[in-house]
Amino acid sequence: MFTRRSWIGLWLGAAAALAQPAEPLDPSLAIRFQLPPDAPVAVVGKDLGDSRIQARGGALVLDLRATVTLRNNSTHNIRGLTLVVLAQEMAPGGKGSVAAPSLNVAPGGSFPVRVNLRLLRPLPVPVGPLVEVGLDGVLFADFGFFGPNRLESRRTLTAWEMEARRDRQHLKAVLEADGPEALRQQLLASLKRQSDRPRLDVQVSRGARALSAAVNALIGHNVAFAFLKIPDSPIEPLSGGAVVNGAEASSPRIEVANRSHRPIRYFEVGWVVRDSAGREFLAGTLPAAAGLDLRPGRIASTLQDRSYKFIRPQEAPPSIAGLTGFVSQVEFADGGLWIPSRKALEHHSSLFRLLPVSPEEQRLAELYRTQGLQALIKELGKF
Amino acid sequence: MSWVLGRHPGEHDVALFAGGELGPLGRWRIEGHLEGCARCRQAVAEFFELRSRVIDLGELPAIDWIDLADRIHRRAETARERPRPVVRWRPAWAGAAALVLLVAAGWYVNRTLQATPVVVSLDGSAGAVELRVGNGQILTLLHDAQKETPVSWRVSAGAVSARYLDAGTGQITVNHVYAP
Repeated sequence: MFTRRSWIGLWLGAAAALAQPAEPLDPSLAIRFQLPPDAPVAVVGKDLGDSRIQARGGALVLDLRATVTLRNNSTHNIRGLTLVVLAQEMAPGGKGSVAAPSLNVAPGGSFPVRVNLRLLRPLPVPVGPLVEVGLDGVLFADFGFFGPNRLESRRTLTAWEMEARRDRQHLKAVLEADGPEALRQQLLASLKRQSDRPRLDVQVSRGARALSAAVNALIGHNVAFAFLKIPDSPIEPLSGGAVVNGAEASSPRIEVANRSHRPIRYFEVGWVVRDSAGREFLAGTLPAAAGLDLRPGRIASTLQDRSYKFIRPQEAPPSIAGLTGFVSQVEFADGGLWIPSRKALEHHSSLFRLLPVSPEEQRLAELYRTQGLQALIKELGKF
Repeated sequence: MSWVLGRHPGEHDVALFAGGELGPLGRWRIEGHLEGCARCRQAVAEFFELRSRVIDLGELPAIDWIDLADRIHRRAETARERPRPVVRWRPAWAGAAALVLLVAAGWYVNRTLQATPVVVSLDGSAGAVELRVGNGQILTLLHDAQKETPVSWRVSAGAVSARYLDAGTGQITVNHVYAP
């Protein structure tokens, strides 16, 4: 039987469900930017645009549209930056980040970063801001790094910068060898590749869905990975597979061997899903487990206690028929990073078609699209 | 108002506060109290949780509580008047008992497994990357990509990201959400 307290709660719930949106509150109180005092960047401007925060029923809805302007206070050019976004009452460890790769900000220069987020949290309103934005890392042109690096921003920003140098080098080589018209063809091909790239929405889960992985083990079937050989890769994938049930793949596992002469502390294997109609999609990457210490010649395996559910927008869910893996990134214990060469990627034309272009190639292609070939050539000349 | 600063607020006031229905003065006073009172914070949280279940409760079929109570009474009376059979042990019962025990154990294990995990999911879709825990939306990072430019997703075991050319800044921007 309901207690008196329960009845009050029920009455309140009904009242809250019928409640109309309240008057907007001040969104500037909902967000706080907090950078370390010795950070190489400083906040010099904040614009909350049409951000809104409203109480609706028993919850608070924060729709944040913030643009923060940062100034480079260091003596080096900034190539990339990651801001960490923490929301109050978030599940422990859960967080977000906003990164800006492909920058080239000189000392004293300023640049904007946009933080667009939506947050729904139950009332009562907590004391203090709902969202805190801090710094996770800044990468400089000399690969120097500043920041707490809690989100492994050093590795991510460094990989983007290496891809940027690789792709600029490629475009410069085309320009030098075959002239502006060849460069134009490269950019047109890049824009086409970006627009034609097949896309899947994906949901990564653990917990109850991971429990369903056990069920999948009964009703699903094992699909083994086929591996693409990437020249010069420091690691060699040996075997792997996942339990597949319709559009869902669970517990992917991969075994690799270190073929280099240096210890490895991290690697990523990209994976491609092929559906029953023969169409292929880039599914994502399978990272090595934390704390890896893979010595030369040794073997390690990575097993992800996750389920990946693929959704094709406005179409029936794909039925997974095959999996293909390829080594996409390796980090050595000394901090050195390996990424596939442009030549190696282009060699696997079907893979190259599926991979997203690098952030820098996307930026340069957009520059060509909006400002033309001469603007692009001028931009390449800055590096 | 049935309390003063320093004393615990009444149940009515806590419930009203949890529902956002309390007036500004009462709200201010309760907030002050909650800062130093874990017990009342817990009470507010319980009220909020209770209210969030109202929609589910609203889907229950209508029940005639009086009729139900009558039927329970009648069954209890009938059972009391019926003579109790003499219990004798039979070997065949051992198998039945084992079966019952097995079913009960299976039910318990299944119930425990279902109750323990909370689904943590990372979603990448047309307009956002999102972290969810259970059915609750925890954090959604929206992308405002320039028209005619594609958005690239990247999915790994612990994070989902969307890379796009920001309409406001013209810069490449990458939003990530990370699983706890």
